[in-house]
Amino acid sequence: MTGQADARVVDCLFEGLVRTDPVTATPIPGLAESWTISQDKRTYTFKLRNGLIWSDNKPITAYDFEQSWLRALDIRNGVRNAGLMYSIEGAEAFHTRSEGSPTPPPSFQALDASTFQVTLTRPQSFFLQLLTMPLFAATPTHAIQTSPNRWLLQKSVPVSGPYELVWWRLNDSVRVQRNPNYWDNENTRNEIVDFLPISNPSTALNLYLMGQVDVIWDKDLIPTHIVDKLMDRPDFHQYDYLGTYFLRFNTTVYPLNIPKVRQALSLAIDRSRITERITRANEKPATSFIPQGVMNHPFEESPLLHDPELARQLLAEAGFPDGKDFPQIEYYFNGASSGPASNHQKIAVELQAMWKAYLNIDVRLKKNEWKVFLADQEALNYQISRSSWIGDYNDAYSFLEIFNSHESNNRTGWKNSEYDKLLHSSNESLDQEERRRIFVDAEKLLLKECPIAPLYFYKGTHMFDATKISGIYFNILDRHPVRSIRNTNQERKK
Amino acid sequence: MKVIIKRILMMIPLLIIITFLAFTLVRLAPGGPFAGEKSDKNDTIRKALEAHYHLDKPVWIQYGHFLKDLAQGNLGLSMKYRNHTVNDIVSQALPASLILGFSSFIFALVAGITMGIISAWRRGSISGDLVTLSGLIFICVPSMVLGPILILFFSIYLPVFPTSFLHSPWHAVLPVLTLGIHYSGKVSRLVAEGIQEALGSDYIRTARAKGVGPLTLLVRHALPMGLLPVVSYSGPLLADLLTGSFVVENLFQIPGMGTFLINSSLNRDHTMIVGIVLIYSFLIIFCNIVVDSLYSILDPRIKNQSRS
Repeated sequence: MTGQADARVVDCLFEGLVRTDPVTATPIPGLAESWTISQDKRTYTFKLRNGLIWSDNKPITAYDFEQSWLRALDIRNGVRNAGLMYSIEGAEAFHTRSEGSPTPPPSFQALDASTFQVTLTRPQSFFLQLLTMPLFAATPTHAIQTSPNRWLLQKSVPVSGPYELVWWRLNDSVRVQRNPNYWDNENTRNEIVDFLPISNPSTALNLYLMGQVDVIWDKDLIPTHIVDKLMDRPDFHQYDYLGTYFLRFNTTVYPLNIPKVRQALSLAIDRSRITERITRANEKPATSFIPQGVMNHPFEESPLLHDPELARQLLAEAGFPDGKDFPQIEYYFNGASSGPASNHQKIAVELQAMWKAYLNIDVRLKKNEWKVFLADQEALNYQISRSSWIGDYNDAYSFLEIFNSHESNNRTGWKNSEYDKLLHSSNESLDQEERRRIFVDAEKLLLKECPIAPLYFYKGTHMFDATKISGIYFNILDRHPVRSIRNTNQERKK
Repeated sequence: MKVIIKRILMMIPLLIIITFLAFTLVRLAPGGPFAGEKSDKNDTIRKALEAHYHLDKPVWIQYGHFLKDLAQGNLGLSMKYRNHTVNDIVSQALPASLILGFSSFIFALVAGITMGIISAWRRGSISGDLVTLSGLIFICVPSMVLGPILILFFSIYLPVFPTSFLHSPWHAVLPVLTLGIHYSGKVSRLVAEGIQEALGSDYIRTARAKGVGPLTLLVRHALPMGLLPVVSYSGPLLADLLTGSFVVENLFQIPGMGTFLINSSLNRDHTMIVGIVLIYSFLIIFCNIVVDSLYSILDPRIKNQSRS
C-alpha cells in the first residue's frame, strides 16, 4: 500500500475501530461502537460491536486488532508508514528494536474478545483521526497465519469492511463486491465497484466522456492543457485540498545559508503568475505553508508578499547589491514530458525569469528523473529544489512537523531549537486554542527563517455527474468512503 | 539442424550475461526502490526492507541469490508490488502483450505485403503512387500521434470501437492498428523494393523472354525474392511487438509488459527490471533463431553456405 488510490481500495475491504464520516471526513464509530478516554487523555478503551464477523464467517475480535497492530510494528514486514503509530507508548522502541533484544511490547492489548485498549505516550488530539487510516484496520489474523506473504492474493480474502475483493489485476482493474457480513451492510450503496488504475489523463478523460467510467477521482488525472475548458463543465468539481507546492532551500550551502538571501528569493516570486499562467486550475497562491481549511490553523487570505523592492533591499543587505557578485545557483526539479509533472519545468522557467527580472541573478535549471531527484534531495545535494507536501491527517501538525530539526522529511538542513520546542509543546496540550496559538508562532518562525518558499495550494479535483452519482462530499482530506457513494445509473441498469 | 541446436544452446550463456549486466546496471543507477516524497520516520524500515531483498549484501552475493532462485524458475519478489512475485506479474502481463503484439504482427505483414505488391506492380500509376505515399506516411506517423487520432475519430466522433482495455477482439482493433500501422509501412517498402529489384534482374528478363505472363512472373518469380528481406526483418519485428509497447498500452489502458518495463525502471524495481529484461532477451533471441531457420528453408543458398 503506497498512495491515496490504494488506500481507497483498502478502505473498502478493511475497517478499523473507527471509520470516516462521508460528509465531514471526521472519525465516527466503525467496528468499535463506542470508546472511553481516560482523564489524562492517554488511554482509549474501545468496545467492539456485538456479532462482528469476517466475510468468511469467523468472528472479528479485539485480538485481531492486537495482532494486526503488532504485525504493522514488526520491522520484518517493512510497513512503510508504521511511524504513524509512534504516538502509542512503547511503539517506536518496539518497532526499531534489534532482533532478540528484550523490548517490552507496545501499550495496546485486547482486554477480552470485545474490548481493546491503547495507551499513548502523551495526549494526541488527532489520534482518532489516525485510526481511520488503513494502517490501523483489523486484518484477518487467521488468513495471514496460513499464508503470511501472499494472503492478499488468496481467493476470497476474509475482509471486515463493506466490500469483498473479487479480483485484483495489476494495471488493469480491481473489482470489489458488497460484503453481506459487514455490520452496516444495509447502508452500502453499490453492489459492485470497479477501480481502474489509470495513469494517463487522456485515457481517463476518454473513458469518462464515453460513459465507461462514472467518476474521475484524482487531480493528476485531469489533462492540464485543457483544464480551463473542463472547469466550465457542471460535472467538474473542485475543493480545497491539504497539499502545498513549495520550494526547499538548502540552508547549508553558500549563499543560501544567509537567511536574507532566502527571504529575497521568496519575496521576488509573484505567485499569482504561476497559478494564473501555468497551473490554471483555480489554485490559490500560497499564503502560508499550511493550506486553507486545515484544522488548528487560522487562515489569512492575503498571499505571501511579492515585494521586489524589499527583495532587492534584502539581497543588498546580504552583500549582493543589484545581484552583483551573486554566485550562479541552481534550481533542481523532477521532470516529465507529459502529465502533471510537466508543469514543474514551466514553473522552473517562470521562477528563473522572475529571479532574473527582479533580483538580477542567474539561476541555472537542472532537471532529473524522479528517483535520482529524490536521492539528491535527501542527501542535500541541491541548492533550491521543487517540493510538495500532502498532509497525512487534518491537523496543522501534519505540515509543521516535517521541519523539526531531526525529522527525515526536513531535507533543508534547517535546524531551529525554538521551532522544535514549539512543536513539542503543541503535543503537550489538548487545548485546541492553545495549540492554535503555538502553530501560528511556529509557522511565523518558519516563514521568517525561510528554509522554504510556499508557492501555491493544491486543489482536489473530481469529475462526475452529480445528477447520477450521489454521496461524494468534498472535504479537505479528499476522503470519500465508497460505501456511501450511490450510482443511480447502476441501479437503473439493474 | 545442428546449427539450430547449437544456437539454442548458445542462448543460455548469452542470457546469463544479459541478466548479469541488467542486474549490476540497475544497482549502479542512483536512487533506490524505497525512496519516496515522504521519508520513513527513521532508517530502520528502509534498512529492514533492503535486508529483506538482500540489498545490504555485496552485488555478487545478491546475484548468487538471483541465480539460485532463477534455477528454480523463480524471478523473485517485486519491490514495488510487494505481495507479488515477478512471475505473478509477468503471467498477468505477458498474455496481453502477446495478443496485442501477435495481432499487430499479422496485421503489419498482411497489410504491408499487400501494399508492397500494389506499389511495385502499379508503379507509375496513380493507385501505385497513392499506396507508396500511404506506406511512407505510415512510417512517419508515430503511434503517440496516431493513437489519439484513431480514438478521436473511431471512438468519440463515431463511436464504433471502445477507447480502452483489451476485453474482446473488438477492443483490440484500435490498439492493433496503432501499433501495427507503422510496421506495415516499413514492410510495404521492403516488399516493394525487393520486387522491383527482382523485376529488373536477369532471370526475370529471361523468363519474360520465354513468354511467361506478367502475373505468373510476379507471383512465382519476383514475389518470393521480394519477401526475403521481410522474413529477415520479421524476427526482430515480432520480438519488438511481442514485448509490448509502453505508448500503446498506456494510451489504451492495456495491462501489458511495456508499461511494467518502463515503470519498473522508474520505480527502481530491481527484480522486475531484471525479470523483464530476461524475458525480452529470450523472446528476441528465440524469434531470431526461428526466422533464421525459416530463411534457410526459403533460400537454399543460405543452407548451402552454412554447410560449406
